[in-house]
Amino acid sequence: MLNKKANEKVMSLAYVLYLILIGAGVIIIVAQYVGSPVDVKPLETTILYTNLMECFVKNGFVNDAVLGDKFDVYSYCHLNRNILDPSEDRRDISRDFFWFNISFFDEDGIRVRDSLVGGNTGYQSDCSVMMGKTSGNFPYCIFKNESYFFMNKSGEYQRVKIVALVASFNTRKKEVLLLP
Amino acid sequence: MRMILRVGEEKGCSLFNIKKRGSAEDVMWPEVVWIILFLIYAVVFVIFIKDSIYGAAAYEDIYAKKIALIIDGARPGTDVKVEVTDAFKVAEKTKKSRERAMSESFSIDKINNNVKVSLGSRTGGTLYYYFSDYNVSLSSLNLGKDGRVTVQITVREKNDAK
Repeated sequence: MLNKKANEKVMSLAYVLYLILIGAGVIIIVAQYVGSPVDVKPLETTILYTNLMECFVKNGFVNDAVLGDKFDVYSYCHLNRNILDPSEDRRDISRDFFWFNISFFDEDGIRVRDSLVGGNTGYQSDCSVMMGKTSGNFPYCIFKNESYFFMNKSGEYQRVKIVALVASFNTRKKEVLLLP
Repeated sequence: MRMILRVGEEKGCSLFNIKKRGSAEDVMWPEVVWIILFLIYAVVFVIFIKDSIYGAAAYEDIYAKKIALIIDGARPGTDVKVEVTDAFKVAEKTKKSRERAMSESFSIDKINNNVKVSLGSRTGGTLYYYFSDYNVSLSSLNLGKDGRVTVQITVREKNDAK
């Protein structure tokens, strides 16, 4: 009698374990097949880069306001500071993170002002290590790094170099979402 | 009297023994607990599979990102209509109600700068953040005469009342 009860308990436990195993297996397979995230980091990088470029260069001229000391790139370029550069307590490793660096040079290659750096600087060095490669401990990063010559209002040429970066630790699937 | 009680106790027929053997603790509760656990498991499983078969998670991901990217790339004064017919059909099937699908599927959180798309039967959904700092609003879903469902994104300057 006692053995029968013990057997029933073992069977019940095995039954639950089977259910959990089958359920977990189906959920993992379905989630992998159906729920793979679409990667939009290349597009986000391009949009961030374009927004910055359009903010600094108006009608083909470098905007003079940029050269001021108290220039705030976030408010001037209508970028949300809480999203691009979240405070320590709001940082979420599952979300994409952003970084940008804008440098201004004159015709001779001398810096006109200090670089404007923004975004989450914590992982930028990891991204430079992992250029084009992926690894579990490093973020998957998309860079856009381009320079253009523009003329300022005084008629002098200036080079604007913008580096935009979007990265994340979510490296499950990388597909580019194409907007219609 | 003493004899009768003794006989009853020996045969396991005392009042105490009868109550213990026939109690819910011994017979009913384990079965009920298993049935409840199995039902919970089955319900969660069916909801997940149903949402997955309709592609709710995939559509949520795609539309949340698509709308966030449109917002990021838009300039003040922009009005964009995005067709969301596919997503709406999924929401209609999973939510079992056209009204719920119309009202709950797409929303925007201006304070936290995110777009939320919820097409599954569960209350959650997919959030995606946009970094643009304009005054962005998302209209309720608009069902066209040709059956196409659209949602309108409006981007304005922050101090612009319109």
